[in-house]
Amino acid sequence: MSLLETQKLTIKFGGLTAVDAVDMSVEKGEIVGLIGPNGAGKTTLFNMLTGVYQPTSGTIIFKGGTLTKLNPTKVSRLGIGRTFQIVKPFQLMTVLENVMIGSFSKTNSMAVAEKKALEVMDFVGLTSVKSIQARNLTLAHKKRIELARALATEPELILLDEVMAGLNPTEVNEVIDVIRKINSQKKITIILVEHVMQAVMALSQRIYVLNSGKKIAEGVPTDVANNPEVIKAYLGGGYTHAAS
Amino acid sequence: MNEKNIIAKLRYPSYYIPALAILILIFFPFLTNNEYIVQVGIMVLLFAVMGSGWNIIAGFGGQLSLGHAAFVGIGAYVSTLLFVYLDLTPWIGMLVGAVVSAIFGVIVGYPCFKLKGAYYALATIAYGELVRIFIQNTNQIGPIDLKGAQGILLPIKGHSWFWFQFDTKAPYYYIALVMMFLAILLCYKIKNSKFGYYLAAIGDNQDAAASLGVDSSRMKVYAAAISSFVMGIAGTFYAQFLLYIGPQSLLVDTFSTEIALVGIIGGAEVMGPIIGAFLLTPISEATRILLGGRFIGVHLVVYGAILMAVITYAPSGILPYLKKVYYKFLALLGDPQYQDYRTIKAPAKGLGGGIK
Amino acid sequence: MGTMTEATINGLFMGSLYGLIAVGLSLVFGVMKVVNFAHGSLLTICMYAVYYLVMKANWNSYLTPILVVPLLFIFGYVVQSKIINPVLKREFELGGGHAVILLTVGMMLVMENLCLLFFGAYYKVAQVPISSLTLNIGNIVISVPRMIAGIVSVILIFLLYAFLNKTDMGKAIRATGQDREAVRLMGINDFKIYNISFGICFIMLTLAAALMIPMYYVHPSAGKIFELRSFVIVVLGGLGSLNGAFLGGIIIGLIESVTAQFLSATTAEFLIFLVFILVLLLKPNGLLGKK
Repeated sequence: MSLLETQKLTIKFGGLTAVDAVDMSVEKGEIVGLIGPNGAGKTTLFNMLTGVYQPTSGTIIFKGGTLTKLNPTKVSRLGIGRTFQIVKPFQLMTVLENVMIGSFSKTNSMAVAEKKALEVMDFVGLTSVKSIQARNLTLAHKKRIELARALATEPELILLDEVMAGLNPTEVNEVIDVIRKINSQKKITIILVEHVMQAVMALSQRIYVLNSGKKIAEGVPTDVANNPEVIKAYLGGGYTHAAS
Repeated sequence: MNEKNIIAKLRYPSYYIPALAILILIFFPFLTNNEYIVQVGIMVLLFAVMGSGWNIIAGFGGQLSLGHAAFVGIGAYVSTLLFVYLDLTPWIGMLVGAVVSAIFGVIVGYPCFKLKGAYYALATIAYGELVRIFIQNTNQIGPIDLKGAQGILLPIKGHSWFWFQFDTKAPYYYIALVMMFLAILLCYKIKNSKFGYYLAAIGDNQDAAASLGVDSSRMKVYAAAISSFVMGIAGTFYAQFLLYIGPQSLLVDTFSTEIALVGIIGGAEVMGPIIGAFLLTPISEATRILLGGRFIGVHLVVYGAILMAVITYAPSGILPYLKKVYYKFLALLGDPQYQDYRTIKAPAKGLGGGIK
Repeated sequence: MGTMTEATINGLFMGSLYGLIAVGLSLVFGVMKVVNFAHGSLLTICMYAVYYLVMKANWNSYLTPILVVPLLFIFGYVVQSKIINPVLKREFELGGGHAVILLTVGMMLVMENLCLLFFGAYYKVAQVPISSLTLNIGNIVISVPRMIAGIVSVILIFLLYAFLNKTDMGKAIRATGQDREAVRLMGINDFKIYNISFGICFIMLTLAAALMIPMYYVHPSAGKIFELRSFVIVVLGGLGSLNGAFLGGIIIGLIESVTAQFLSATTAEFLIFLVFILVLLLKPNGLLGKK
């Protein structure tokens, strides 16, 4: 049984169908990429998976149970963590406090929460800034805070929404390493939405491609990169070369 | 830590200064013969308690309430009616009033909590006004004489602890002082707990909090209940101390605003409203003496100007700045623990929150 | 039957005046997403300005806008640029929603109580010839200043609407309300638009004050009751919507006038706040507000 499965997942806003009958399944332990041009419905799909939006039709099955109709709080408690495309750190809290909010999902004790938060911060490389208010940090740090916060809830599945956008090449490579580590050491399944193709291709075992809300391709990175429809819809002429 | 240790530590400024402050607070009624000054002290302590209660939902939880006078009013009216009609001691009336106030806080709070930012603030003004208009225009509920706009004068039933009535100000002062210490303790416990962290997260970014499994509605309901409970307690004290409750003094929006200002200007930390009350309340009391009854409310010019300055230049409130000065002062007095603050500009602060 | 018609007519006139007062609040919210808690005290200031011009300089109340409008437009422009914008900038950066509200609460406290200090707590009334003029049609009695206020308010709201929809400046203001980032990319200074919008809010309030002086008392919290009304009206109509403000004004005017006629003024007051809280809870976007 898949860890996460969507069946004919659809959402309409007024007359616009933002996500159209998407079938998708993610196995435990996988890293799955989700790509597509701007406005393809990737973030909207994430928002349905995490209960922010309720699908118009279709179902989401996580660990054998249905997620449809649950709110973000309940989805998080079932073991799905996420980051936000437009970062939402707790601006007025320190980094440590940010991550502790995550670790409180599994404990009521201040001491335990702090200990676990420090572990996670060490894991993603935030220890050096632990007592700085989030608002005073760079975008790269804020994205890492979101990652650490989500990890601290001890999820089974984590949804990463453009954690590399706006980062410089060195930072991108660091994040790629962290994501690999999360997958291999913590055994967490990952779905990532990403525009940094080098990262998606390097990390993902499988990739889904969305365009205008519809799934137009799926498969291993090389297949997807050479899929004519994908090239036509999204990647453009020069890209196949760059990806290989 | 044993007693000897504490006494030994008292040679450090960071211990003897707070100890001295507490001693001054305890012996304050003996330091002056002027009853009026003690009265100002009592009002300061009362506002410190109300500001702390407001702070639990608004400061810690980021739900800006501009209608908190309603909860004080409910506490005051409930205990006063029980006192007048059933001869119930205000000590029990206080608890009953606080529970009723908390229930009301949850009932009006729950539907309002889905509103964000300005909409929530507007809703709090609306229910504050509804309570005022209702009481102001209700003279009689069944056999109970609510006295509407006229308000209720509390009868003197005897100067004793049982009746919560005294012929000197000192006992009121000590009751208020204990209430303030309890409020500080309560806020400290909340702030340093999972609940306090969750409230701060909700106030900062509700969507992010939800993505981490924080149940915002439930947390806000708890905070609303605790907050209005504290306001209810303060309400009973208010009634017993001033011996008069009426919609024009207890339920008006400016009273709500004054309560909120104490918290905002101090800062959203445990000691924020305490500092706020110690700074602001004497101003209002002083203008009341200097200008007499002719210009009731003129102190609000000063409050308003301070509020504007705080919002513009110190959105985390005055407390962080005072702390900075205080730590530096401790360093200059030679406290070994605070030597770093001789040079450090501002202490690292998080959770303290602030206005966004 | 006469009383019902009279109450309805009065309600309509009062309603359009309420709409005129509320329209500035709605505009400011629509453009910069700020609920201005100082709106009522701004009205109070406008009322005092008009009052003193009428009483000390013997101006006709309806002519005072010639002088007062430019003065208060400049005042509004400066207040926005020097006091509100710096806080607004920080609020945008941090994504909060309380700083500017509290700033306007502070402004309200300062202005209202400065009026108390300078002008005293007394109720001042500008008794001008037109004040007591009435029009009798059958058994219906209509107060003339109220009729003028009602009719002129409708015209003024229409003019503002036309300004926002037909002129370049108006379009720039509306565009800023929709997407300030995009507007900035077009080379429009969004904060300058805010200054102008706040100035326009003052213009509408000054005009309202000129219409009100012949029939209302002036005192330091004269504006407060209209402010609370305005909150109800703009939330009812939909925050940010001008048509909504007008519609909300009419609804509240009718509720107030009819309820006061047949029940009591207090019931009207209570009912208005009840409507307010119900709209907030059930339809927070209002009748005509956008999502």
